[in-house]
Amino acid sequence: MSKLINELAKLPGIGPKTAQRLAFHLFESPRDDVVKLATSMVEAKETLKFCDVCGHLTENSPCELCQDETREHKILCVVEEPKDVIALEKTREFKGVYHVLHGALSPLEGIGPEELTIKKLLERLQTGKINEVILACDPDMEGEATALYLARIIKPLQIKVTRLARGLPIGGDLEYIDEVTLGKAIEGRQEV
Amino acid sequence: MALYRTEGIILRSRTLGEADKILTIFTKEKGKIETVARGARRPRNRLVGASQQFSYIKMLVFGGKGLDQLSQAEILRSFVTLRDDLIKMAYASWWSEILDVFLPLGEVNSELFLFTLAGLLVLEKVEEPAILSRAFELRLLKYLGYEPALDRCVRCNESANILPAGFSLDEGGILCQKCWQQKPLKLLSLSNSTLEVLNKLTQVDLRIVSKWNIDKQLQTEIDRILISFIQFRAEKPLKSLSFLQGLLSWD
Repeated sequence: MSKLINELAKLPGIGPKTAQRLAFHLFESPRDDVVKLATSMVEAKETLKFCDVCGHLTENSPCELCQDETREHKILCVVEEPKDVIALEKTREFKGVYHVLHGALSPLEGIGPEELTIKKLLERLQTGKINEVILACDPDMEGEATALYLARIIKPLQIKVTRLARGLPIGGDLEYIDEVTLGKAIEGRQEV
Repeated sequence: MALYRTEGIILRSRTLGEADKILTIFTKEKGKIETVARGARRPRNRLVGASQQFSYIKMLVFGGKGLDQLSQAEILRSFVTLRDDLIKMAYASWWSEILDVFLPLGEVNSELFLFTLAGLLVLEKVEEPAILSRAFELRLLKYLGYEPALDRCVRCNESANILPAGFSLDEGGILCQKCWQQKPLKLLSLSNSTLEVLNKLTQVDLRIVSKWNIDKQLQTEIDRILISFIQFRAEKPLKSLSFLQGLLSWD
């Protein structure tokens, strides 16, 4: 039991108490459920890899998104992590293709352009098949740094570069919005 | 457990768990502190805007046994320009890292705090931050107690009309010819004009230094001496420096 607890406690966000609770839960669960969980974990680890084209998680490379002919292959959305692709796909608003950077530039952590898949991105852009790049980096310092850096290297290629809008969250309360976000919201206001 | 109010500049932000951040904040009244901003990575959290790097904030902190908790925060100046310009962001990160490395936790230094704030305000406005950064670094070293000896020989303290042999990283200053001949050691070369500019930089008003027109070779020599000295004193590689230098070499 302590071996299981120790292994579970290695997972992100799981402390010793939660690990213990999960271990007891697994112990009390039907055998089939536990086997299903264990096999899906092993399967995921063994079959999932990064798509050679976009860097998203996939079983077969190129991934489904890259192979889908109904998608707009001229519009490329650049994101930091595979989970950002999943988040954007949930919106069903974006019909283009993706490029996953696998991180963001971080001056203080010493993560430079060579640690990300920027070289691969440039190779994709140089094919001339893409006419718009949407930068969908996180709106924090690392994301800003990445977006600014990418904009600088992509613009000389004569490709349109856009960024996701920054502003008010749906359902938010205006008085609690910080001045920077509110400022950006005013800057990016739209006619109704 | 005690609540305290203070104001400070966010030097560094690290992620913690699912949605939290650990902020390293240089405060006016408590020196450098580390505090947890719970939920600050969730879009609707009220700390999200105020917990961005380089922001100058007014805050209410809950001090406990472990890490302090950021309870409320209000932006006094967001320094958004420093996050909207890649080069300025790299310089501000470099300054933050120097402060983070050299300033011990909890050491109150309100003069240095005000100086840092002034430095960031000037950085927002300048077009070419390199020389401003050198002046800022020199002054920062002084406030932190690592000031290099530039107006006298670091060994014999002779200041009148000395002929410098070069700059010694080990001894932390310039060495006169006489002292160097007595006990030679590895020095960084330094011309008289570089020394003159370095001495001026220790006193110059940050607001006017960026208007100085400095010869490229002179700038390179100043950069080499100061940056090597800071790295030597830090005793570890400074990550933001390689980022900054990468950007500058790209230009």
